[in-house]
Amino acid sequence: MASKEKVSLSLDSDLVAEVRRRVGKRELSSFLNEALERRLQIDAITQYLRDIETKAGPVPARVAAAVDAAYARRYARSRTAKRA
Amino acid sequence: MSEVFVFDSGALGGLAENDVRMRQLLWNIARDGGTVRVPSVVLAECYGDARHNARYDRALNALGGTGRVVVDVSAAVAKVAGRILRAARSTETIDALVVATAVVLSPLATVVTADQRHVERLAGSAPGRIAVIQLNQLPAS
Repeated sequence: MASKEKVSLSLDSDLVAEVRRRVGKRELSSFLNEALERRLQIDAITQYLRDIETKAGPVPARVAAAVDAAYARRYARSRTAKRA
Repeated sequence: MSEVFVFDSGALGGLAENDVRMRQLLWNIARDGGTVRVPSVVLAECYGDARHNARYDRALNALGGTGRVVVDVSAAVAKVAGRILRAARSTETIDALVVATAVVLSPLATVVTADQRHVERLAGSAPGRIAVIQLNQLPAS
């Protein structure tokens, strides 16, 4: 388990109130931890995508269209599999 | 709660090769604020050949680094995998652990795989609703 550090933060009151309503007072830290983790991962992915596009060029339009379509219909496919 | 995307060895291998399908998929995931996870057991399928290890390291770094993206297979995941294997009448233990990881991590999860047969069958036998994106059904160029 990762070590923990206490920090003092200044956050928008309405955001804190909404998070506390959703997850409770004790879960605020894990909610923020998860949000920070996700943001760091998205930043890493975005950096990778920028770097590889510079090196290798853009994703071909045909591939992009097929992947976008598969991404959009992924849950429709899972319903079909369950019925089978 | 964000959607979790669990990568199998084929998906991680695709990323290691900078596969254009994986690049486009990651663009979608990042745009929608999804989270990517790789079960630790997947690394056993990927690592070992010294010629390719650095590529897998780069792929994991592209996802934020091993410590952030790799999740250990817990007892809870292993038990779910056992139930999935039995329900699907399958012996594909690693694939079942990948699907079980998705089940345990989030009620809204997608497995990304290059496996044509096993993963979709296992996901169809899993509790909840696990989506599957099969890379091999998509054009690579």
